[in-house]
Amino acid sequence: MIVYKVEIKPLQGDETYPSTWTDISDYVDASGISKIKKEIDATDYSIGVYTLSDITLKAKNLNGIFNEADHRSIFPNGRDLAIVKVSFSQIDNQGIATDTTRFEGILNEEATRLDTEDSEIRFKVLAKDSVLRKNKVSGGAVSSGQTVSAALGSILNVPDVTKVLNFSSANINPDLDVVIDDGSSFDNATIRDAVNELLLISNSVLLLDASDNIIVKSRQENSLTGFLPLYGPGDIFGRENIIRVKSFNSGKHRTFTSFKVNNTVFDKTGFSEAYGFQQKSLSIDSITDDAKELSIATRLTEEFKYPKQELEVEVKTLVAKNHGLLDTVQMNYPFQLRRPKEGNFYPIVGVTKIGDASDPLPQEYGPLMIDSNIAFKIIGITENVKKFTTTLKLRQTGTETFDGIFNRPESAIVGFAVIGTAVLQADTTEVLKQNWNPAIVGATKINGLAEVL
Amino acid sequence: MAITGGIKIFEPSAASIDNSTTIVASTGDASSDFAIDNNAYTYWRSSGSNDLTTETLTITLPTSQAITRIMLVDHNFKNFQVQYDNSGFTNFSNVTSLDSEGLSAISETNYTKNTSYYEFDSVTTNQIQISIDTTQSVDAEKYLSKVIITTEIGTLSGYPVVSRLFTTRNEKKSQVLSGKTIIEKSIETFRTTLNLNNYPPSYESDIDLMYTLFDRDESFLVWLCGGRFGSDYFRYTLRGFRLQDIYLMQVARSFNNKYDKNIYTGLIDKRVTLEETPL
Repeated sequence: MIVYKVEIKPLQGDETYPSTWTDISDYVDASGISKIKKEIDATDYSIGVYTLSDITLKAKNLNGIFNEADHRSIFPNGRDLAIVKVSFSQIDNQGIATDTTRFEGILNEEATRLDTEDSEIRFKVLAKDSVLRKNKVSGGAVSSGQTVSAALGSILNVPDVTKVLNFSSANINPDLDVVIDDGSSFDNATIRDAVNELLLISNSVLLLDASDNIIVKSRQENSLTGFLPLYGPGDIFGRENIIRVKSFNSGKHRTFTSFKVNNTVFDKTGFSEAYGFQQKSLSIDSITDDAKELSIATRLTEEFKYPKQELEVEVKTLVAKNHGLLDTVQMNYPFQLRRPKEGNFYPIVGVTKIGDASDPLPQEYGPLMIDSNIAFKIIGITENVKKFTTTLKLRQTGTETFDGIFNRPESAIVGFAVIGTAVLQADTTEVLKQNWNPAIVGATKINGLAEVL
Repeated sequence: MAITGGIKIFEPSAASIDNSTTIVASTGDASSDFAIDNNAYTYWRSSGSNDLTTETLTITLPTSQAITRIMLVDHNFKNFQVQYDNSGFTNFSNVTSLDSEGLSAISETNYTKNTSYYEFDSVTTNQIQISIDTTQSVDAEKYLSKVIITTEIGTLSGYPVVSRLFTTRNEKKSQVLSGKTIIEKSIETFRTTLNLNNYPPSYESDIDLMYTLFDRDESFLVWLCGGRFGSDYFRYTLRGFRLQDIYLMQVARSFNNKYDKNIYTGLIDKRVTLEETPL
């Protein structure tokens, strides 16, 4: 059996929280939890860094159980700053529950509303990263000459943040640890805006793990092993666990072949010719050195120069609950096959002989096929508590024309090198590091190195 | 007929591609996984076989477990045996098949149907072997769609009305500008409603069985024909009632129960809706 559970820890008089949770699930409306969302690179034509949405809780305020200054209430010292946890609870046949925390946040009293006619109360629960939105960088916190990682430490390793989140410099590993030219540009900015700029110029993302540790890392996927396998309706073994696929696209909305950082431009010429000149401009106050601006522009262009497929896939939350942002996903989504006629069979690779009348090639149908060798990473998770489903936003891994797959083929296989799209030696300025060898039909191993003479 | 009772309900097959079961075929091993998958249209097929060649399928379950039922769904075997591992492959005992009872083994010499079903004394094992000698058409490649290794949850004693027997291709329709309709069909799925109408309390075990299914979180196998076949039972066998029609299903809606005419000591009305599930 699976249920969602909502628990709460009200703030006590001594500014501490109790050691145990109070279960308020029985008071929460069946549709009373808004979607739980977290994502990076949130919207089209943008590159973002991290979004963890707040949620709204709707509950029955039976006999004033959620009131303030009410002896019947569970809030002895007010509702504000109470910790709220939403868990996904699996209960086995022996009644033993295994809970997976899906959201933990802080109740924001400013947005609480109570309707007396139906005793309904609405709470806004802020995600824990809201502490970044509600506090600012104190003057002089970031020094000129600090690296991005050190600057993040100066901004995040402060009491206002660490009372809610955990900071360790060992978890701060930006992709490009550039040196800040002007630390004063961060003075009095919100911590979130300051962190966003640092993440952007270092081509990094910020994640919160299950223990509320702040993690700063590159956009690279966590690992190609331990992936989440998803199966569509055409899976030959009938293992279907995908509810639907939405918004499948080529990724061109998030392809940038040129970046302009302040007044410094980097163009990836070969890719611009292939995919069009798509430039993103960034205004970065903390960087004033031309060479650094170029290194930032170069790194960001390298990250986003090649279109990588993106899609949204909806599955049962039970399937996806143990997978988080930047975990890998394998989409097994072949075309569906027409059922063989009575007396015929599907052909077997390596067994069926060409011309075998009982094993004709089946007809394929369906609007979309996604090769299972393409590796995707999770860049967004939206959990629908009412429907027990989760929508994963996926982006193909890698940054090059030849990566983003689980197993690199030893020879060119139709379907990977896409005619009209694949480009050999996309960048005319790129110097190949291996010896050239002539391409021989039927024998050539195309791995980004062979030259077709 | 040897098998008794009506609609049969089983646990999901212990042999499944989803649970690390392995299967090895003497030939045609490339297709052996198809015998333990969830697709009714995929088959294990031997390669280069004939009636002089005995093919074997050896199924290894992830753990040793008790089993009491074996079903071979949609095959062409004529002469074959099924054994279990007990420090060596051993015959099942007290076997009841679709045709006979009290057998000392699962062993057929002139099988003519496309699906086989066997009940036997419980054994605990992690390995089953199917040995096939000949096929119903002489010297044909041997094939098998599914092997089900399981235990029974229950058999209905009575005969509920099987209404709303839906076999659907999950058609998606879109009307285009001309007014015509584009219809896209997906894979075939099955759902049905069992109406236990005016059910006598003497069949209370059936009602208990329905509640058992209602309480379950896991899906279960439903065999509507319960082993009945042929013109004695069906003038025309609808899809859903054929021997090979066994579906993984789950209770899809709330139960609709009442006492007939509100007489608590009288007959019972109950409606159970079942839908096919992928897992």
